[in-house]
Amino acid sequence: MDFPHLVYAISRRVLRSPALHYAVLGAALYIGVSLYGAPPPVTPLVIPATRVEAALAEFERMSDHPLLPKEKQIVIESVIDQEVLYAYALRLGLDKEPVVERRLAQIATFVAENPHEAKSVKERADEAVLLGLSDGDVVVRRILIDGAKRLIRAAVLLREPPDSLLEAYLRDHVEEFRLPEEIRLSHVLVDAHIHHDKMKQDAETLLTNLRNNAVAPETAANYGDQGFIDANLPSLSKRELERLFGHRFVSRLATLRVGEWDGPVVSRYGLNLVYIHERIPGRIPTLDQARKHLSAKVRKKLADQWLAMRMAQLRTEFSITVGESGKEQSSL
Amino acid sequence: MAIHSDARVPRRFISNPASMIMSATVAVLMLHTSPSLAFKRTEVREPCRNYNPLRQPFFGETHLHTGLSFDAGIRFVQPSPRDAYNFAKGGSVVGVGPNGFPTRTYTQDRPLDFAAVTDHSEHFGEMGVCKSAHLPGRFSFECQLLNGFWWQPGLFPGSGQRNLATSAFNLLALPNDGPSTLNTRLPMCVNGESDCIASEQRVWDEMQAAAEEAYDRSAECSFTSFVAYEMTSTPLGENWHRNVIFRNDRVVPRPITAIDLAQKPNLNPNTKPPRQIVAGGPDIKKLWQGLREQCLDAGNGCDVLTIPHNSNLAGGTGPIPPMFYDPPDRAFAQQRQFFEPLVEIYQDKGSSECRWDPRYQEGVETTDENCNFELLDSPSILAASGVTSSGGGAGSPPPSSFNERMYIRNVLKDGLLLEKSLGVNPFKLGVIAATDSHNGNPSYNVEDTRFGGHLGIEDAIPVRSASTIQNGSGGVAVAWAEENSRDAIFEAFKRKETYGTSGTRPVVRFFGGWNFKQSDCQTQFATKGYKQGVPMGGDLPAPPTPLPVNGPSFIAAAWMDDYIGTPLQQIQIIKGWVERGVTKEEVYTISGDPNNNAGVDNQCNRIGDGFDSLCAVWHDKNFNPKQSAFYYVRVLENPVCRYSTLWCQKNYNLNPLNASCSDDLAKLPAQKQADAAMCCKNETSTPIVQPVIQERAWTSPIWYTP
Repeated sequence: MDFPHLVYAISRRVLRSPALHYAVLGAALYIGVSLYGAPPPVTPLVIPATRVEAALAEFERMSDHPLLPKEKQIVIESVIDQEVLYAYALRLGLDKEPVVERRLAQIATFVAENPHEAKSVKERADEAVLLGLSDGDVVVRRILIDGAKRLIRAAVLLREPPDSLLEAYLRDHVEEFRLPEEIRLSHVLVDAHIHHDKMKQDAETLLTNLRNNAVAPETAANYGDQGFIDANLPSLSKRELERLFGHRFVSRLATLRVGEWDGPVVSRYGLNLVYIHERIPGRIPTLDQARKHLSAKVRKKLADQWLAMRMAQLRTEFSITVGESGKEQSSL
Repeated sequence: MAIHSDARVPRRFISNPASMIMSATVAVLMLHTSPSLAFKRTEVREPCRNYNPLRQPFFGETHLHTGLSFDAGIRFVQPSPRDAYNFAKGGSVVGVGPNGFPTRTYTQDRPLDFAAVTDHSEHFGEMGVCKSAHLPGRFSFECQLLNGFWWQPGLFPGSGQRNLATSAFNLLALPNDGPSTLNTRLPMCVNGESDCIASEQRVWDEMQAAAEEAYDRSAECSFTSFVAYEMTSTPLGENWHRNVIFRNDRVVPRPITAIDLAQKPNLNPNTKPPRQIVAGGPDIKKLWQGLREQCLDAGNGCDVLTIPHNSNLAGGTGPIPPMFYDPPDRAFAQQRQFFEPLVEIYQDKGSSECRWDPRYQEGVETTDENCNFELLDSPSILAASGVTSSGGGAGSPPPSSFNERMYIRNVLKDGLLLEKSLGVNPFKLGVIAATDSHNGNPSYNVEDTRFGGHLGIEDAIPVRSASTIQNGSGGVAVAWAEENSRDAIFEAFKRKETYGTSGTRPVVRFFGGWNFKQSDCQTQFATKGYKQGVPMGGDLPAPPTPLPVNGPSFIAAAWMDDYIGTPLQQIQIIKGWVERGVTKEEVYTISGDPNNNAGVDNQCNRIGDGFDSLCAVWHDKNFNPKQSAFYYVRVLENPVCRYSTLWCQKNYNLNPLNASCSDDLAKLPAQKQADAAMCCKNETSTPIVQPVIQERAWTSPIWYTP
């Protein structure tokens, strides 16, 4: 069993455990992997300075401003991560994957004295490595870096998280999942196409009448102008109300009083007199209601965390230095 | 209904409370048991709490790509279908910056009511292999390209990254862009066919799962998703693309793709040239036949429609006819009418309504100067997508270079003509609009500097090249439906009760009939509209006897998008008809003021008056009951600055509205000059770019057939 397979097996076991919080899971994976045998010896990893400098120069050019120290740090960290993953991939032997060998053989053939000489893919690939062509090849580097990253993330992504993790995530991200506030209202329309310049005056007169006569909101359909929207609506979110009445209407709702006729409020269709029956605060969905969203979120978060932890751990397995400027290092 | 002067004397009284409770109970039962529903319920779900038999406008996206589309993955686009649906509900996605880093965040500040993710189905297998965690093919060279992960910080300058992405696209797409006779999958799928087939299934399953997760089946009906994909047939660069949208969760086992449209298979694609074209091009019937056999006739409630788009990039080349070619026979015409009730009239890659080029003061079968909106200079999708080595642009071809069938208005007119010979109108097309964004951000229609292109790194600086500055922030599809559910909206699509907008969200209603009166604008005219007439997308009923002196009547109303706040300028009715075998058109302004002198100042502030809402009843006094005709509404808003104008002002201190713009551009440092190269283009230059635009809406037509 090679290392990535071990990671997968451990994570699968742990993911089956129903009692663990998702954050604890990450830590458990970390510990589990750390405890597997003796830690690998610290390997020197020298990153050519030119590689870092080129990355910084490129980012600065495209950013159109001198890089802030924080931005500089992000770029450097990104380069280091890539170099660590590359070295890790070599350690895992991903460079022996047939596709990598084919690519290396292709490069070796380009520079071979006799490209038509009958040689196996492996022989050509070995030549490429001997000639130092493997390190500089963009495609090989990306195959290895990406391959290493995917192997790490796959340990988590492939499993369905248990309910306990989902519940924990829901508890910790209540606002993200909270259903929107709803409002139940009745309304009376004073139509702009009918009242024109007298719209405001007519609306205020009607509002006074509605209030003075304590008109029941359930009878709202009997007043004002008949519009396209029912006078008595079920409880709806602000987004639904905005679609029905327009943005200006919804932006006034917060200022309206509950349990009485209020307004006039500008809507898409004119002026509206509004009776808010109730405001229903946003509620938290049950696990089953939120399950399909939760599962995707939790798996992604776990995979991200696991990758970050593995990266931190991998960094401790290398003694990382950046080579001197102007002196390209050819090996890691 | 007039306003009451005395609120104590309401015009209508509610009967006793017991009868109210009874009515409510009956209503709920009817919804549950369905017989009185205005549409057929084909799925298990709760009825929507917000149900209106007079229908409501629902705003959405019918054309959107994510990182699962091969041409997006190549351009470093990351969001998945799940991310896209989350965005549609008001979430955020990461966007690609000009250097390839995911340095941007797009946030949907206007959540949608519905959305369909329509990734390109042609490389689902390849994408599945590349995105897998275990298949050996994921290490292939093609996967390095498709995933965009050959990119390395600092290895190439930003423009190099973009050029490499374009090269990668050419490498992968060109062999597949002519599935007429022979075509192929990418080598990794030829050599690992079983992996590829399994991966295609996995991607298709994933897309269905993402749609299901996003769909709200509760009574809140807060969001509707559709299972969908894009069939991407592109013979010789002709855009024959169709979005395939399913009614519910019963769909085809695997997508029918452009590769399936080939006239014959390529059994040995590694040794035979993949790109052979024969006259007639791919066999589009295979798409519809496949959908009939595997969906409509499957007996499981599956239903489907296909939506063509970008006819403005499909005028025919050599042996390949335009997208809207003459049907060979009546059966084909019937099939086309059945499967394609809608067409996309506008999206990121320009308008397909009509073409009037201000540089030539001439149009393509039109003299309508409002057809100058969001025109592309290229008649080919390859140039418009930056696939050509120059990165797009095609000079400034005169109107005579553009096939008339590239524009929907002409297609609608020719449909009337073809109906006479075939007995069926093959082009009875309703209208929607969409984005076709490849950034995983549905209906991100921002007309300002937040717009970051529509195709990853390709147009991350949209004002840099000829083709990219012509990309816009696309449109919105609007469906008039009873509730926000798949069945209700799908049936709105089928009956064409839809309209499209260029990105804003005005509300537009349109009915045709024989007895609308101007005073109907002062009423809730929808009840009368449905009872005595037909809504947008319908067919006028037979004329009464005697024929009304003023001909048929149409009522059209529009209410501005008060979130954006641009007032309306006018409502137009466009009529097309056939007279003595010749197609004709006429544009009528029926409400508003086309000469309201509204505009923008040179800092892009709106100036001049407009209207919060407009309504009018119009009679076709030139109506001839023996002539077939169609009528559709176009609503124009007051002018606003295009996003590109604001981009240039903000990022480069260049103002396309100033005469000094070109001089100012020449003073910029070299890199900025390159990035801002197209900033000073306008409606008289090459490429054509309007610094100031009039956002608009187009409704489906109402047809009259003698």
